[in-house]
Amino acid sequence: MGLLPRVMLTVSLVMCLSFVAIFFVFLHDQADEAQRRLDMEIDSMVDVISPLMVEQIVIGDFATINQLLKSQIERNQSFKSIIWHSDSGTKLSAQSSRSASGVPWWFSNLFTLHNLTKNVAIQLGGVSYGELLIVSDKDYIIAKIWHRAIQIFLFGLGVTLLLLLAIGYLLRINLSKLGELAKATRQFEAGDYSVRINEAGSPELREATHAFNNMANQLEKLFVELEASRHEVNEQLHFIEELFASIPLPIFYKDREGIYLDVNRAWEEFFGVSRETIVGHTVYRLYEHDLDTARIHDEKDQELWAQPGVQVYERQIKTGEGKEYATLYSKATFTNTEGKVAGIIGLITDLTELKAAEARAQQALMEKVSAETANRAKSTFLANMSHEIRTPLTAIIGFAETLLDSHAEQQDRIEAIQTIIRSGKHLQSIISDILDLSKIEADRLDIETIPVELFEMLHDISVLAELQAAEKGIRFLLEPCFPLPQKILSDPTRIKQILMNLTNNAIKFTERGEVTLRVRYNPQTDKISFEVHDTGIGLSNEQQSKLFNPFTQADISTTRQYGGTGLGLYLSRQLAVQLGGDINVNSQQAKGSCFTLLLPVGQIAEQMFLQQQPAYPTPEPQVEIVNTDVRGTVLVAEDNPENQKLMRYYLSKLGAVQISLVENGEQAVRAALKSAYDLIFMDIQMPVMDGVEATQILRSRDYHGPIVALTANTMKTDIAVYKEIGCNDFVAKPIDQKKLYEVILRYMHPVAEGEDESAIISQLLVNDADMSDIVQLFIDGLDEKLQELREAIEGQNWQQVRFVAHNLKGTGGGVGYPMVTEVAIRLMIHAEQTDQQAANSTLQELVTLTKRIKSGFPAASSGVSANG
Amino acid sequence: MRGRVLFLVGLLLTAPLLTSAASEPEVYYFGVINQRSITLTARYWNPILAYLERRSGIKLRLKMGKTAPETTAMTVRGEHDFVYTNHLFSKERDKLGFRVILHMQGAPIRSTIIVREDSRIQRLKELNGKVVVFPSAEAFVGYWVPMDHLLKSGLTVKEVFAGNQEGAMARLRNDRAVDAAAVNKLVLERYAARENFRYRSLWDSEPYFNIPIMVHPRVNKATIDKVRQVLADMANDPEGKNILQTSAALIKQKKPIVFIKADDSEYENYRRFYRETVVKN
Repeated sequence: MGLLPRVMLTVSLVMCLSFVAIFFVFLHDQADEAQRRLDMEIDSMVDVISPLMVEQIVIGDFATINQLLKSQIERNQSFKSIIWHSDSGTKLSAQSSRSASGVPWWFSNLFTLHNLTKNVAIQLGGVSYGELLIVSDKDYIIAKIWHRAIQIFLFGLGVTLLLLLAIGYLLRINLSKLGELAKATRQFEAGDYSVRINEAGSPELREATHAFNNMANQLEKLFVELEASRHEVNEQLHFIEELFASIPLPIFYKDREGIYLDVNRAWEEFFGVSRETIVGHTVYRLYEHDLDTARIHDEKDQELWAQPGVQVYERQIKTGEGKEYATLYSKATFTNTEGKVAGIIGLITDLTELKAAEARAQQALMEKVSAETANRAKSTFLANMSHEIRTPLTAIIGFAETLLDSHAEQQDRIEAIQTIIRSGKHLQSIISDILDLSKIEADRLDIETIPVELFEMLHDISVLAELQAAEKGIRFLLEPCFPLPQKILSDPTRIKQILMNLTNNAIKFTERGEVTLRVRYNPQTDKISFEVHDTGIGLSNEQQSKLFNPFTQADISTTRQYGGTGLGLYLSRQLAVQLGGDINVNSQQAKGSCFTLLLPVGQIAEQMFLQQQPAYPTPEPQVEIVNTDVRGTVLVAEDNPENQKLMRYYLSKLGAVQISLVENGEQAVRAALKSAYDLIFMDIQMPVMDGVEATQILRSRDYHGPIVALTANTMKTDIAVYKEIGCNDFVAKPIDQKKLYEVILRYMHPVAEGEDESAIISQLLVNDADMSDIVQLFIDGLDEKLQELREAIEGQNWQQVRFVAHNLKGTGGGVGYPMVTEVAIRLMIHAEQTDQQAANSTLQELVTLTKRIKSGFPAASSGVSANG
Repeated sequence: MRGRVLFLVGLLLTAPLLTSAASEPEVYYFGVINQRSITLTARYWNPILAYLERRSGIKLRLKMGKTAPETTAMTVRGEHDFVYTNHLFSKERDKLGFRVILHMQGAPIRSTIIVREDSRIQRLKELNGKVVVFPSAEAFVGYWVPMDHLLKSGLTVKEVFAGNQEGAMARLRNDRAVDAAAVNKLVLERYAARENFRYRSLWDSEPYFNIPIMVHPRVNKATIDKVRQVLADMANDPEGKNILQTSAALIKQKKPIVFIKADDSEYENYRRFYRETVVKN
């Protein structure tokens, strides 16, 4: 039997039983209620009719009372009779005339009702007006209940039927929905995830179907997501497999027993072992040929098991194919889904190339450090050089100023001049070293290769070294070890430079004992060695290692104690190398050093080997050029005022030389083309127009007079250039007076003594002849100035002397007579010092100078050269 | 047919009462002129009559008609042994022989002609031709006295009867067709106080003693004396005083009820009025 009939039958049965029970309870309630209502009706009726009856009784209208009782009987069908008894015995009554109601006997027997009789006393104001006897009608009440019961029964029956129908209907609808739900569930089970149920019916069913639909939606979404997740997981797995396989670094992973679970392609290529060979085996299989390495890896694995995490270590390995690698093993433990350590994954990084690169980088770093050290040394050198250059400069400037002191003793003046000269030469040697060094670094050092008389060169060195050693109280010894070649093919200047440097150093660092220059020849190597031994402070190994580095002395304290640029040994070695040889050192601290210059002898035709020291050649007598007078005109083209003064000074010492000074090549060209000079000194580097261009212009305009280049560029190539453009000779800067005079004497002739009253031509007129009026004016005023000075000096009017001298100083130079300016300055100094004697002497110079100016003025103004 | 049967039954019931009046009856009937409803009258007098019975053994039973004329008619017919009325002083009724034995303490009664407070009628003469309500044609101060004055004043009014004193007052209060009322002033004041009735008085009569309790000549002297004494002493007895206060409270009367012995001489002005009145019965 289906759910619907069962539910309907059960509900019907329950409802019928409930209805019968409720019905009978209802009936009894109805009976009780009827009884209660009857009581109330009686009370109510009494309350109503009592006053009416009293009133009628007071009036004595019994007919009305009778009528009242009847009307009550008619109105209240529950009453069977109403009887009034007065206290006096009067009785009035009314009876109900209603018939039986057709109630079935069994229904009447259901109730135990009786005709109810109620006595009610009627009183008013404490006076009794008799009693009312009211008898209820039981049959009427039962009939009333019967009719009520029939109504209720019919109503209940109707309600029950309707209820059953409604329940049946609702059950049918809801059960059909449940059927749909069951059907949909089966469809869902069969895989039709799209099945849904229309959400209709009762709220519970709607909720159930809604829940089903929600569940279906969630499940469908879940299935879709699950499918997507599965696809994604597959993709990820595939990606990981691909990644693992394609990563260009060797990767492996093992289980807790150390058994390889997988390796990638890079691993296979790295070890030359196939995946199938190693998977399922331990590291001992991989390193069958190198069990120590296998054991170390195994131990590292054990460490990682003991302390899970990441492990990195380097290891030099050798594969079964014999390849050696520097490797970096990076291992890490991995866990399973339960979070427990399940194995190790490892990555091998090939450090072989990296290590090599690291070594190279290390080397580069060292070189860089070395370069930085060199730079620091250069900085130190510059500081030293600064000191070395400033020291002689200070001496030069200081002693030069003392020369201006007119009170200085002659001996002091001589010592000052000697100091200036010595300091100047020292400065020159420093600068020469620096220039040589720069030439070496620029690969522009000129090396001569000429036959050199060995002992002649050694003699020159010995003479100087002996003097230096003697000044220091030690000995210098020359020890030739024969046989020695008579000549060597080299550059004598450079060899001297090297050996002088070595001997100077040896003397400088030796306080006691001796310095020995030992010369040997090695026929096997055909090289000659010059060994400079000393008994000085010696050098440590570290000092020796840095000794030939540029700008380096043994240590900074050496510089402070002994001075020097730290350039000598480096330069010497460079020169030695330039000469095809080398220098090395052998030294012990506090015992002494030995520097050895090793040079090739060179191929010399008819070479002779000496067995003993030959006699030293006799030096040639030196000519006192300074005392030689020269006559003629000289044009000096020099932009530097100091050099102009120096040239004027040197030339003025030659006596009857007319000197013309110009500041650039353009002025030189103009002056030379205006009047030919016996000699032109042409500075190469000048503003406006340099010496090279000026010389070229002059030669191009058929100027044939001698032109001597004044230049600091004395390299062969430079000199060759100057000669090529037309210079006859050159004088190197700084100007060596002796060499200058040698050059002058080549192109000008000496004159006899006493012919020094040469005329002086104004420089102003040389450059611009139109200025003769101004010069004339200056000359015309000279005698007056001389007289004023003479009187002022005699009268020791020093203020007047300073005034007139100051005037001459300014105008003399301005009109082209700088010598007047020079004399005027001296006069001002004498006036300042109130030195009458010196002032008279200088005044006499000015008198002579005035004569020469006057004699030179007509010539200058006419534009004719003194040496046409 | 039905009415005839009822009449016979009524006759049968009243017959013993009528027959017992010749000898000393066990029950005396006490009539009360209708001033209030019968029920209220019964609630007022029954406790007093019961007290009288308990104190004297004399049983007085309240009996009255629906209206004052009916009650007076009953009295005239001899159905009352004792009666509380002032309708028996006319020449004809004086012949019945009723004598005054008691009256209630209090101010004498007066007749008064009133209009509603908001009435346009300001003077008595304006009542000429107007509708005046009276308690009944039997009422002494409610009809005879005011009507006598109206007639002697030359005024003719349209008479309307309300049945009793408060009925007439209620009629004037509620019926706009009625212009004035002629009532017992004492009753009026109690009614107005109780019902908050606002009125203007156009005329008041001379004072008359309040309604007396009169006795039929057939009642023996001992009974009369006993009744007279018990009621006169009632205000001095705690139980009696309590009953009197309860009855006074029923009709909103503040002053206690006190029965005072009286006689006919105190009601001579009544008789005089009836002799001189122009009102026709």
